Amino acid sequence: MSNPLKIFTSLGALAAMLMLPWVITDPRYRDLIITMGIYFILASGLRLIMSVGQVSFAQAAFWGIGAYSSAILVMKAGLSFWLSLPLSGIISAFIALLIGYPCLRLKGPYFFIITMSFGEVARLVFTSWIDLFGGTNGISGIPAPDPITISGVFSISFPPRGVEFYYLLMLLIIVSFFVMYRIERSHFGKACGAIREFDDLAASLGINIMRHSIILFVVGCFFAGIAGSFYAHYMTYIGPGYFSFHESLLFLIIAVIGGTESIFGIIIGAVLLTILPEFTREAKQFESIIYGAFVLVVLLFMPSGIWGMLKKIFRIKPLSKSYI
Amino acid sequence: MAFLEIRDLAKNFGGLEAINRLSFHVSQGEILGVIGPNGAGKTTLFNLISGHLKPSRGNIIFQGEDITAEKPHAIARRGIVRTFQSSSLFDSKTVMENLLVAFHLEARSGFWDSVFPTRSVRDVNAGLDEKAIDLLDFLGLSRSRNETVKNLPHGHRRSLGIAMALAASPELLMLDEPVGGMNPREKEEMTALIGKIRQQGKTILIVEHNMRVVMSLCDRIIVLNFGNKIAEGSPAEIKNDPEVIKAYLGRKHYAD
Amino acid sequence: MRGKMRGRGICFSVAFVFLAGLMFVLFSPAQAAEPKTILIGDSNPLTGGGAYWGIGSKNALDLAMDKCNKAGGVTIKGQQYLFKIIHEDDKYKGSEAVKAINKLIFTDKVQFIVGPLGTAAVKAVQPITEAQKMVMIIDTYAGPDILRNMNYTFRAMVPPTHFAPSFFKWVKDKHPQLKTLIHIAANDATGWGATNGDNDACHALGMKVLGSEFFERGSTDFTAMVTRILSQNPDFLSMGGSPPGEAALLIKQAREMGYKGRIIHSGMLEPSQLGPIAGWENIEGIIQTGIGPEGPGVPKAMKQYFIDYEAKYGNVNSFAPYIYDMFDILVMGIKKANSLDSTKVRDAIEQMDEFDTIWGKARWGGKELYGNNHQLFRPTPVSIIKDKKLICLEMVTPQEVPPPSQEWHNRK
Ligand SMILES: Nc1ncnc2c1ncn2[C@@H]1O[C@H](COP(=O)(O)OP(=O)(O)OP(=O)(O)O)[C@@H](O)[C@H]1O
Ligand SMILES: [Mg+2]
Repeated sequence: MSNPLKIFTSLGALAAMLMLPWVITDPRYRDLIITMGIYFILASGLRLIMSVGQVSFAQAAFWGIGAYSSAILVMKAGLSFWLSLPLSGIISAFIALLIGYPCLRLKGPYFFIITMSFGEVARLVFTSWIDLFGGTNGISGIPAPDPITISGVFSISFPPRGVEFYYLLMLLIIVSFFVMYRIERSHFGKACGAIREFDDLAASLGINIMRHSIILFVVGCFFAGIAGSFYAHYMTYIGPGYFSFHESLLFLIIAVIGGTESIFGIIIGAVLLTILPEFTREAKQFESIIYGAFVLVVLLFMPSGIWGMLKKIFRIKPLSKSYI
Repeated sequence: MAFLEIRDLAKNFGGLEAINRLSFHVSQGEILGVIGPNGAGKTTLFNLISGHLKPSRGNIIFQGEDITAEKPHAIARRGIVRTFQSSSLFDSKTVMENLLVAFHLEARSGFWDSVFPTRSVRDVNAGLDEKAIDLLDFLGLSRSRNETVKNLPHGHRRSLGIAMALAASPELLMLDEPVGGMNPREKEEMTALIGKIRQQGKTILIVEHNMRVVMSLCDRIIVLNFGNKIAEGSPAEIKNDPEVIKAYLGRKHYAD
Repeated sequence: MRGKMRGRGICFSVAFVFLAGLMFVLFSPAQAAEPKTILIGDSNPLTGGGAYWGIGSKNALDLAMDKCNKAGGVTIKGQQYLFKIIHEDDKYKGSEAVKAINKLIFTDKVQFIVGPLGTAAVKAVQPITEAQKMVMIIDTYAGPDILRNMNYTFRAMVPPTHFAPSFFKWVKDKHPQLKTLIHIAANDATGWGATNGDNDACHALGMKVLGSEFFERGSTDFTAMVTRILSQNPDFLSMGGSPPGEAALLIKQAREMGYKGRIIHSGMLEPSQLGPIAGWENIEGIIQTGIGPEGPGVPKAMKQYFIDYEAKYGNVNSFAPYIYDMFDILVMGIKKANSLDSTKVRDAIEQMDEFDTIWGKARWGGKELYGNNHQLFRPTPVSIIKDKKLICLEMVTPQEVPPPSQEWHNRK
């Protein structure tokens, strides 16, 4: 832990994060960076369940559950955003628990298909339960987070799409990165990797597959819910179209392209797949072809994602040998 | 009270009776051998005991408690740990990483332990490194500890499989063909190793085709054929049992 | 020898470039001031589900722009300006519209925005456009809150709330025997909007709404629905809010199962999209609000528009006429403001008196419903399908204050 290189890198990254808004002042690029950050949280949540070899296609649904929960808690129940933010995560996590318990018994394609159906059901519920979710019209006029005031000292308010949202998101990213990184480096995380590689052997060594899978799924969905809450109050408008299976697919592509082996892979994936469409924008109707070709090339030539390839080229080794 | 008792155990796959109303017991501290021709149901028996398969009928009683319906991880927690016939390991990981995962039951490996590792969590888990190194020494693997497992020679893979089972601190160790595919020297080393493990007071259930190994290690032997137990007794008794000779030993290629 | 030749070649070239540069420097100040460019951003679905509308919008806007540029653009405070429209694809999605609008505003630095047409897209970008004081002319059907409290958003599309009362009044006047109806629509926001608007209008006119039916988009079997309809045997089926594909199948099945009554659609149904699926004989006599180049009701300007559109693109897009005026409205606003300042242009648009569109005379209104006069009111066509063609019979004027609303889609 007290590795000087590690501390140095962390501080450097933190400083870069803090400084970024001074370098990039264009609201368009700030918005893209925020999108990137949201994608990072969602894809890294998805990566958790992928670390036991299960692929969920419901990540966007849990994102939506968080977004709608937060909008409703603030607008209908009158809660403060600062309460609804964690609550949205908890609601998503709770629903993930209910869904995960029966569904995680299924493996591989079965789990994949059932989560895909759940995503579709969630979208239908958002669309048809008009009184609560506003139907296809969605919910508009979602208020900004309450200002944070320490009387006499300072006050932070959240103007629409302001830079304050950026800092709030960075805070959420740091928390989720911290959790994901710790999991990755720990005995718990290594046990999950063991399940993915050979579940029968893992079980015979006393590793509880179900328990690990559920924890990962629930934690991943918790962060999806948090991201949803942030997204709702940042966008001020949400509709069922935002949380469709296209988005779930995007998070999956981010994770696979970047590489699921490490949380750093997810960073790469989120950055690339946010930026790429902005470059291919000019290509108009060829956009999806370029996009598809890119995904295909990475999948074919870098089976463990871009991070996996970088790791091979630069021989990146884990920083310490024992797990926490 | 028997250490492990198998009562009237049966498993059928569709119409196939892989294990047919089998009863036997294992006493504490002994090495019990299970032999029989290919497809006799030996691995299936292991899978039933370790919880990887659910029996069609019958009971498995371990230290007086019925563990028939339990999940593999729970059975491992009770102290029944098995190796796999195909010497399967976590191939992409190093020897050390494999072994550290195998210390799962001893490690502080909960979710919260991982997110907020306290002093004691760190201490416990750091201690495992030493234990793992000791175990590798014991098995003569310490030199390859940073090797990726898929590059290991066959004999070392087998040893590592056993090391991992030992890391889970078994009361009953189940070995599925531990010398399968080994050259004579490796076989000898492995036999000696199993003898050493036994001296540490572990109870061992062993499936093996190699008669020399079985005869030299086992206190008792049971013989399976088409899921049925056709004989049970000391190595000497088994060697001379006409039924066994007819079904199994008579065939040349097992004589070695 | 060769080397010498080459050397001389280089000499000549340098001299030529130098001379040309000199001429340019000498003569350019003498020319009149170059016209400057006004950038307009357009975000519409160019790919995916809404591409037909998006491409129609793009074409219509380009057509209007070309006409304006050819006529010399606009002159503001003595400076001539020409227009350039930058089209971005929002894939009919809110999140993509945000990216498109961000690019248009912050990277391309457009001065005005037209589109997007999806409700989700408009609502997603409004926090940006309003904060940037960006005049945006939209063309979506969505509810009142799309204009309420919005200072820079104008809607150039007349939603059913306003035209359904006039449309059904025409139906009542011309076909007094049509007294009972069942409404059928897709189970989505557009469908509910149409159901409420149409039924409110009919109810207020003294017609009897026997029921409201909803189907999922993509449905192909309407037998159960048609059976229910037949048991009530309404004088007409009101199908506003049913997309063409499903509407065609529904019409076919209703006719096959013996429904003899009239079919009325408060939206637009292209005969060429409908006929091959529904059967040409089954769609004869459908009354609706689509517009084409033919019929006694087509305004002269609209006729010319159709000729111009077809000359340029070689086809007819039934959505494009709804968009065409958006560009002209913007230009009128800029001219009237004699400025490019968005607030001044906004005020100028708000204060426009009655003006000409390809649909006829138009004006801004809607204060009672939206709190501001940002809703366009222009004539709406009443058309009928006759001999496989859309024939516009008459233009009717939409109502500014719709009849009381009853939320029909929540009833069973
Ligand atoms: N999961 C399964 N599904 C169906 N049949 C199975 C399954 N596992 C084993 N069998 C069958 O059950 C019988 C017993 O197989 P088992 O693997 O237990 O034999 P074995 O005694 O271990 O043989 P070997 O000496 O070759 O390892 C075989 O006929 C096998 O084909
Ligand atoms: Mg076997």
